[in-house]
Amino acid sequence: MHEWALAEAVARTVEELVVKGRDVRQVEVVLGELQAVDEGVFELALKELFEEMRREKGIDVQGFKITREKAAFKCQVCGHTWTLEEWPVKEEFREAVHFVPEVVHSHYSCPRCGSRDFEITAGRGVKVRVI
Amino acid sequence: MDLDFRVPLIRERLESFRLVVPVASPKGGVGKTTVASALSLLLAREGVPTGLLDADFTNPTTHVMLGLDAESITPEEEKGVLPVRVEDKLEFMSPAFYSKDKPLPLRGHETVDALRELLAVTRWSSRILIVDSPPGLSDTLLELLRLHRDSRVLIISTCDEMSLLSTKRMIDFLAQEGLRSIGIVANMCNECSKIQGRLNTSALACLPLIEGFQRLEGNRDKVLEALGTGLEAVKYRIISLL
Repeated sequence: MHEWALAEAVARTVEELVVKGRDVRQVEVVLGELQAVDEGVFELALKELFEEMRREKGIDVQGFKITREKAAFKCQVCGHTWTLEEWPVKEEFREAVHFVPEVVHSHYSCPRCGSRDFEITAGRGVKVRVI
Repeated sequence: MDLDFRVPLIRERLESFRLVVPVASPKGGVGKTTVASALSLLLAREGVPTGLLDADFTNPTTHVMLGLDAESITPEEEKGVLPVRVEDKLEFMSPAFYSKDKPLPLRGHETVDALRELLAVTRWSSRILIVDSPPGLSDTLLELLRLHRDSRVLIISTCDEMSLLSTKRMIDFLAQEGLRSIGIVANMCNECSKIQGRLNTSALACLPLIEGFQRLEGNRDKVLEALGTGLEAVKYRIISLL
């Protein structure tokens, strides 16, 4: 359950902000399409970790919401832009990309010129916004 | 406000080690991977729970020195990922387990992202972390030192003039940043006095050029047999810091 570590990282970030005096009311977690995080598992883990934080450290986060971001790419060589929907990563490589999204460069290339030198312009992995 | 949510957890994970040792050199080809691997084996076989991270994201090769087939290994998943247990006291993590020995061309910020991701999700259980870093004052090394200022860098240098000049730059950089070093390993050197003469410090270990060393790569016992004695002083220095 790799999602647990990602949720744990979010919880640690919130805890650190609160300890530093920041008033954290709402947390928005953006799940990038490329990393293919299991939203159900992630949400369950984050709920459990926030509950543990409230119980053990008295830190109460009022709520969080999860949104999704589509993955998009731009080739550094030919300038072509595309989305994951248009040009999917092969099934056999998705698990590796799930753990370390940057290894997409090993298993995927520009659909126009074939270069692995492309940029992930959106939807890489997990992002956190604190409100 | 956008945050890099991984940083607090990474710091917590790195602080769980008694010592973090980036193995670094300002030049390529001076033996960082060889020394990082041999030193990790030496510590582990001495009974010190040791973690070894290959942080050379665009060209990971430490698994080759350890005799592991990255194609066939996928680290186990358990509330994160568990490093691969190579020996009783030696755990190992490499991007090669995910890139599967294919080319991994990364621009600077992507290298930093990949390093953060791997540090955030890997659940080590060792007392010391040895990090095989890419050559130079790379993004990877700078980020690791930013995330863990208590790191103790082990510098690898050969004894030729270009390497010594480069090593001096690295020593100066660490001093300016207020970062600490364990010392210098002079590798493939026949005249280690050059280190003293040029850098005004003596090498912690002096390893000679071993003809045909490439034949030993992948054979952990042979690697240790060839380099273990030469690295004893480094081992004891590290153990004294634990």
